[in-house]
Amino acid sequence: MVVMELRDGSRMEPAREQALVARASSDPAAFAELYDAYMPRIYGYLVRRVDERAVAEDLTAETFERALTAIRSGSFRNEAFGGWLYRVAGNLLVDHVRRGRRYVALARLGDDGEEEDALATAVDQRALEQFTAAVDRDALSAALRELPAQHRRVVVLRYVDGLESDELAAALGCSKGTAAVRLHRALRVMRTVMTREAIDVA
Amino acid sequence: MSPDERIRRMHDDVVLPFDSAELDADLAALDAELAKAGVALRRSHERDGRSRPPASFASSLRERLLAEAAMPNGAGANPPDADADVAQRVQPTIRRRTPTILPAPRWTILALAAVFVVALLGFNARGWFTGPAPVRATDVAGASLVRGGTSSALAIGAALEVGDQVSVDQSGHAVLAVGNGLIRLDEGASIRLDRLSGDVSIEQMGGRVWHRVVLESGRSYVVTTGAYRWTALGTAFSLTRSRGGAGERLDLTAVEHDVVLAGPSVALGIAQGSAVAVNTGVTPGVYVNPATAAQLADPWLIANARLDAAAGYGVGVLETALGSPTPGPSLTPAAVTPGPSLPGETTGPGSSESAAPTPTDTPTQAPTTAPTSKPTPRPTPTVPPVGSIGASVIGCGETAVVSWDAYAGSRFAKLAVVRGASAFGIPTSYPPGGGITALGGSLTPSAAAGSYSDSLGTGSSAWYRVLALDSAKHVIAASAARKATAPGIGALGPFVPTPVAGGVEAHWTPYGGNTACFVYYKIVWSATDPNPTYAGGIYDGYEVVSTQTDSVYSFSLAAGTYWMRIEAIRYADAGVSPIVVGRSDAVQVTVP
Repeated sequence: MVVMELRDGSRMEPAREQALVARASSDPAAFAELYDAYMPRIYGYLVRRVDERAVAEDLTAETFERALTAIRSGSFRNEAFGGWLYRVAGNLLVDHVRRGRRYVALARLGDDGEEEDALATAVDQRALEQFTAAVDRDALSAALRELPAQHRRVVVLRYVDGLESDELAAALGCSKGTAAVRLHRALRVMRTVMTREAIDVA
Repeated sequence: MSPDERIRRMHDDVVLPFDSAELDADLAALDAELAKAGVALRRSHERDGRSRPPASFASSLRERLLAEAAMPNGAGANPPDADADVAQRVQPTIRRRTPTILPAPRWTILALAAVFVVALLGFNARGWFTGPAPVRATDVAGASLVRGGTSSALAIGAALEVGDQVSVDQSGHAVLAVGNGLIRLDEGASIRLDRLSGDVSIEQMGGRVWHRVVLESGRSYVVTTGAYRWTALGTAFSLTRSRGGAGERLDLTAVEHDVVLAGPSVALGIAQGSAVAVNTGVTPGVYVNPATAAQLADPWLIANARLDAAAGYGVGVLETALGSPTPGPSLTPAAVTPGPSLPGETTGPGSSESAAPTPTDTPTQAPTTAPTSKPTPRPTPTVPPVGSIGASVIGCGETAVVSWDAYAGSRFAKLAVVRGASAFGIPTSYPPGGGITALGGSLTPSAAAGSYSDSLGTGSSAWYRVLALDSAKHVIAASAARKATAPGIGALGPFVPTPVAGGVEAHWTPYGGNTACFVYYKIVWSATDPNPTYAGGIYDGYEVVSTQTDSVYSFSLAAGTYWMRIEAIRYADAGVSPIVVGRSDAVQVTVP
């Protein structure tokens, strides 16, 4: 057995990040360091999901403005600052998609929760398609294409955006354990699809 | 278990146990493969620049955020040392003032709050929290009130209740104060008050009505017209309900801020400045367009906007129209401006099916009780009305140029420009939320007229609003939302520099783009760089050609070989960088 570990070399040390967040309310240099570390990642996250760079820039700016406001007001309590940024950026994306829709079938407006989930999945679709196209192995590509909607978000955040476990949990708004289990389930579903594909080919 | 069955089980989170996150070798390999593919994808995007933020954007945002971070933090947490000092100073005071019979100040407050909540619950809390909006008639002529099936003349000052229906005859009008907002009914209009507790809901049964909405936070204002619901997100709109073809026609102009329409198979945000026409007849449809100049010149809209502006309200898209001289305010329009034509219907003055007010060629004399330029008496708004600022936006080159008029109102502290990616909802609040960007570089303490350039990129569009802020960053005035599209840097056609003795005689095709974007030409050259440009600072020298219509210019230049081009430049203010709006190809010339 291998215990799941999520790691990515591009991440700032969590202890350093926490110290910077604690200082940033009164020290612009601390906020600058956080900005320098995370702005490219958040911009990348957004630009993988929207067509226009101008929109990605607007949403990036809004994400960091909210971060600054949260830090300065003392309302930021999350340990994973990066994950919190991804969550804010994701919410802004959902708002952006919602605003951009001129017509919406009323049948889809019934349940706020379903609508929110559908929009959240929709904003990840573009990134998932890029990832699927970039994967070499056909079976893996097929598994990504067929990945059920409820598993897409966690897979995209983890592998396409490269979030680590605490960031993933913050971005999904759940505990680290729940995030890991969700990812585990998604991988198992993918493996099952790949197995089925292999049987079909045989 | 078949593979399909396994897949079904795997898709169902409920069936699967909430197990530990341990991976077997297969899943670990899959995890590693996906992680590797993800890293490769991100690196690939970084290499080709797809996911790399533009340097200018990164640096300007950084600069703006750090400037904001360096400002005094009024609402936020103070540095720890400062907190400690404050606590030490305040604590003895609290101790002295707290009677010894009570445990501690915070528990005393909590106990009092609990007693208050219990008391509220005991006294019908819903009524306390969502008291009905007071509605009364403030200006009436030729209007009737139907209450409980009984009709009577509507009197000025009459208090109205849920279920009341107000109808105006063909030569009358009525103004109803709804809380701090108001409803103006044109001749022939009729409404029913369906809900006034907390949220306001009104059935507009017919005719033309101006809705000036002032809501407490969290409340909604909904106007229903049959199966269609119009929810105000902002403060002013005009809605007309009339017969049209085989069904009904609904026309709305969003004057200030936005309105949301929901109806059969449609949910639609209507941005300020848009005109919507709904046809429920044989060929039903919803048509949304920017309001035309003719629509915005409708005397009905102008009259209402004048009344509102005089009362201190913003008038959004009509602020420009109010600048032109028009007849004195009258709620009776000189002529009905038809909305956009809909398929399958007959419109216009000759339509016998239309129940809308009959247009006339000459202005109708206002009745003696008609409103005058003096604002209708009504309660003082609890929310200070937001004033207006004149502003315009044009796209020049790869940039949007936002210009504004001087602001002369009181309480002014700063002026800011905000930008939205779509027309939907740029609020008059600061800092703006919901994806709207405050352009920190535009923040200025000057109330004078000015401009701000915002880099957009060729073909990109954005919406802008100019806001005047008080010292607490509350918005005290706002412009209408304006849109700009950056056309990109235009081609100036062939640029032909001919060497002459001791210099160059240059010929080119004059700039043919928007003259508002163009101030002068610059001929720039470089002996080393094949792409000289003035805006980018890549040049060895330049000549200014200040006459826009010129197409030839001679100047001295030392002997040598140069790369040379001409650029059309917009230059407005000392604080705004010049913008290149047109450019020729760079050509090589050798001066003997």
